[in-house]
Amino acid sequence: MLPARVISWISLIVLIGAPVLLLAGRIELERVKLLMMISTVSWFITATMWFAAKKS
Amino acid sequence: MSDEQDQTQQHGHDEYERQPVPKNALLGFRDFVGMYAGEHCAGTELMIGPLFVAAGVGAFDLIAGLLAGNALAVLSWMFLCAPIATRARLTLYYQLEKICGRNLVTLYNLANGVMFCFLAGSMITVSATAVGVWFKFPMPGLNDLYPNSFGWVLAVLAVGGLIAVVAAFGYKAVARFANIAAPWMVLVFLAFGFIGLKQFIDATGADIKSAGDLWQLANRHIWKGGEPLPGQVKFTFWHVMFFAWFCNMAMHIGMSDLSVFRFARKSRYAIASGAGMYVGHFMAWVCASVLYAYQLYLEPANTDVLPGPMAYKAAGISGLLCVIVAGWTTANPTIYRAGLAFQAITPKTPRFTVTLLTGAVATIMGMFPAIAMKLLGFVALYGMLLMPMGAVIFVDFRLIKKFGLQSNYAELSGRLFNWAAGLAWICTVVICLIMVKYAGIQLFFVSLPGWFVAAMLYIMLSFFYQKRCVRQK
Repeated sequence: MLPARVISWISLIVLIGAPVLLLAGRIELERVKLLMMISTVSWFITATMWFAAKKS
Repeated sequence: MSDEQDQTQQHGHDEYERQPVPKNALLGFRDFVGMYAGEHCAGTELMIGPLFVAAGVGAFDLIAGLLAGNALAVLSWMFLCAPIATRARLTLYYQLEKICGRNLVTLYNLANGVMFCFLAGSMITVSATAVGVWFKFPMPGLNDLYPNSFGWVLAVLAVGGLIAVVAAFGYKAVARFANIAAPWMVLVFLAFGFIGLKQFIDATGADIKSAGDLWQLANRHIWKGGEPLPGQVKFTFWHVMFFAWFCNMAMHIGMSDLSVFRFARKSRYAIASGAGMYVGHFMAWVCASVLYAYQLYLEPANTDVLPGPMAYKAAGISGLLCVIVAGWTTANPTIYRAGLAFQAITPKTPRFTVTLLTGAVATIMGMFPAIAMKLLGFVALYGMLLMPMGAVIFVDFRLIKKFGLQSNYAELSGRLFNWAAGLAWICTVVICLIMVKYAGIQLFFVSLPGWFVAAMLYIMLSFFYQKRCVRQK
C-alpha cells in the first residue's frame, strides 16, 4: 500500500500547492481548479485504498 | 446492523456507558488531536465566516477576537471539563443521572435532541446550496425566513432525505468516509482563503510586498468594519471573542465532552481541542469569510450567504464537493446523536424509526433558511440553553461538599428528579432570557453571568431541597 499512500500525500500537496502558486502569480485560476479536481479524485481513490488496508 | 453495533460505531466505546472507563481503554493524545481537528471543520463553518463579514466585523476585531475566544474555549476544556472527566471517567448522561435523576436527564435529552435537529437542519441547508449551482433554482437570501422556491424545497428534501436514510441505517460507511475526507476538507478550506486573497489582490490592484501591505488590504477591503448588513447585529472584538468561546459552550462549559475526555489518560490532553479550534474555528472561518467579502466587493447588492455558489466560483468542482461533504459528514452524526437522545425518551421505539423521524424533522428545519442565516444567534442560544447543567455538574463535583451538602444527590436519595438541579437550570435560562429581553444584554454575552447564576442557584436550592428531603424521611 506504500505507492497508494505516496500518491495520496502527493495529491494533498498538489491540492494546496496549486492555490499557493496562484497566490504567487505563477498559475491561472482555471488551472488551479483543474489541478484541485484531479488531486481530489486522486486523494479519494488512493486514500480509500490504504485506509481500507490499514483497517483490515 | 444492530442498534448496539451502531452505537459502538458512533461513540466508539459505549460499553462503558454506566461504569468508569478502565485504564486499558484509555486513549493517547494524538487520538484527541485527530478527533477535534476533524469534528470542528464542518459545513456550518462555511456559514459562520461569511456571517461575520455580514455583521460588519473589522480585521483586528476578527483576528484578535478569534485568537482570544478560541484560547478561552481550549482553557475551558482543559480546566473545567477534562479534570472532571478524567477523575470520574463517566459519560455526561451517567454523571447527570447521578446528580439530577433519570427524569431530569430525560428532559435534558429532549432539549439536546431538539437543538441537534436545528443544527443538523442548518448543515442540510449548507449542502443544499451546492445543489442550486447545478439546478439554478432561486435560493434564499440573507434575511429570508421561509423557503423561497419550490426548487429549494426539493433540493433540501433530496439532501436531507438522503442524510436521514443513511443515518437511520447506521452510518459506519459515512464515518469512514468522513475520516478519509477530513485532511482533504481542511486543505480545501485553506485553498478557499488563498484563492479569495489572490482574487482580492487582483481586483483591488494591491501591491503586496510585506505583511503590513497584507494587513492594509485586509483592513480596507476584506474585513472593513463599519455598519453591518441590514438585519444583522454589529460584531465587535467582544462579540467575536465571546462567540468563539461560547459556540461550543455545550461541549466544554456545558460538559458534553465529559463523554469524550473520560478516555484521556491525562486531563491536559484537552489541549488537543486547540486543533479543532484553530483549524475549524479560526482558519476555516477566516477563509470562508474571505470568499463572502470578495462576493460583496464585486456585487455589494448580492448579500446572499450561499456556500455552494461561493465555493464553486473559487475552487470549481472541488469547492462544491467540499460544501456537500462538509455538510453531509457532519449532519449525519448530528442526526444520529439527536436520534439517540430522543430514543432515550422512548426506548421502546426502534432506533431506525426514531432516527428517520429525527432526520425528517431536521430536513423540514433545513428548508427554513432563517436557522442557517441566523446561525450566530442560534449557536449562542444553544450554548446558553445547555450551559446551566454544566454549572450544576461543576458545582456538584467541586464545591457542594464544602457547603456541607451531598453530591450525586439523586443517586444517594433514589430520586428521579432533583428539583434543585432542575430549577437551577430552568431559572437560569429564564433569567438569561430576561437579561436579553429587558436588560439589553446581547445573547452572545449572557451565558457568562448565566453560569454564575446557575452555580449559585444550584447551591442555594440544594441547601433547601436536601434539608427538606432529610426532614421528609
